[in-house]
Amino acid sequence: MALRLALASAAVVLAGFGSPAAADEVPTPTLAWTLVQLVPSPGFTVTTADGRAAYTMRWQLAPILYSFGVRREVTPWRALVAEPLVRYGGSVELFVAGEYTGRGDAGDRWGVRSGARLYLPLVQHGENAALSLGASHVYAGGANGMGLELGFYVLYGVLGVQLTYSPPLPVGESVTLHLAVRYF
Amino acid sequence: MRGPTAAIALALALGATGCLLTIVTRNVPQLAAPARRLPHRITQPVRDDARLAVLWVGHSTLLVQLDDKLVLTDPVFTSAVGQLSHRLVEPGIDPADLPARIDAVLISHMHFDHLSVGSLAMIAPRIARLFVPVGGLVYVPDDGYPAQELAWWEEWQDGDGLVITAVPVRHVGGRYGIDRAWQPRAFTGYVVRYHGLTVYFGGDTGYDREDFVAARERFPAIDLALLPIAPIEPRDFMSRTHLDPGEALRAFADLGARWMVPIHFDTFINSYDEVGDAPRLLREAMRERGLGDDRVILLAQGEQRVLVAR
Repeated sequence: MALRLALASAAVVLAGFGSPAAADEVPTPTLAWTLVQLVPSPGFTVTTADGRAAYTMRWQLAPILYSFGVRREVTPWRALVAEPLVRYGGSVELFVAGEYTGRGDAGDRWGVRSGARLYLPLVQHGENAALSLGASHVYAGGANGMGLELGFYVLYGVLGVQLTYSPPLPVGESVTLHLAVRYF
Repeated sequence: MRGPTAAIALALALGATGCLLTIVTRNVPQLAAPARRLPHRITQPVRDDARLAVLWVGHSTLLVQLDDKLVLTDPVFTSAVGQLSHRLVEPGIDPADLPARIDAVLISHMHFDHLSVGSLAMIAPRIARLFVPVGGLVYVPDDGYPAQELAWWEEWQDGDGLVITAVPVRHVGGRYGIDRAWQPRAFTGYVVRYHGLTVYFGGDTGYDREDFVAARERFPAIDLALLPIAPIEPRDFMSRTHLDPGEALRAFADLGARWMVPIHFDTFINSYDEVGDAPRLLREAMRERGLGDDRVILLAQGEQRVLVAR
């Protein structure tokens, strides 16, 4: 499922090159947007059982987002590209993320996370401050896991922190803190 | 993309980035500094003795009275814009002292110093209708007032004689940078007409004679032109999208307006300019053109002027 979403996202990205949407349409990926998405969100993760820590990096996309913070005249749906006021003004998104963790065997370091996230505005319709609650499934190192997430964002969502708690089932319990870097 | 083109694009991008970083850095000392207090702010802005009056709140925010109609442009009352640029001077009127009904709020474009969502929330119950350029509505929160987009030369009438027309200017769309690609026409000027009075609001614009002449041809009797005179420096970076004082006076002549009120200076740090540069250069340009204070009205923040008395 995550692979299918990733392939669909890639197709939309490529289709959008050089053809920005008209002013009154929803935004579609451009080359600049795509390059910006390559910037990873850095973080570190701690396995609570043994206290082992490792750095992580996360790249994420939101194939579908529904905003309940926009005016009635504006379409609430977004695919991949969502303006900060649309996302942090109040929305629900499905997301998929590639993750790299700096420990273990080479084949175990990469994982795919997919889930849903709710954004709630705190200050100035979320532009100045917003929070998020999320839940996700992760597949890494041949094992499945899950995560519960809390996020806080400032500066139109460009910077934030995301705290992910992975309960002990089915794999080891861990806590991950990311510096969330996101520009659209 | 060919090599030389790519190199030029890269050089321009690096130059723009460096310029923006310098401007952001210039804002740092202001983060902890309080905005300058104004000694006597107007608390009763509606004038019974006026047919046409204008109050400069600061930057591009003006309260314009045309008989019994009130128009507010690019309202910004917050202590900062974009979280990083703090006010140098407090707003020229407390938003609590604005009239209970503002007939039209005009948003020229979506940049933080022109569309302030925090400011709109402060005055939301007073807004009868808000206007934005094409593509801008996505950035206007639903605070309970009607809002609509106006394309260049598109007209709106309230049925009571107030007519608002969007007019082309030269600027850029978007709010956060890369969104300008999705909002290629999200910037505009406006012409407001009521009871034989005509006011031109330039928003934020570079010099484009065609635009100003076209506005004059469509509206040959402009009484008041509200025109930006800054940011000025670095000129190579600013000239495409911002008038300097001399260009503003050329635009004033192109428009054929009776009076001009300069705006968009000495309120936020958004350039290399020092406070006072823009009005000083404006006065020099006025002397060169033989224009006096009777035509170009340089208001202080919070100052109101009656241009046409009852």
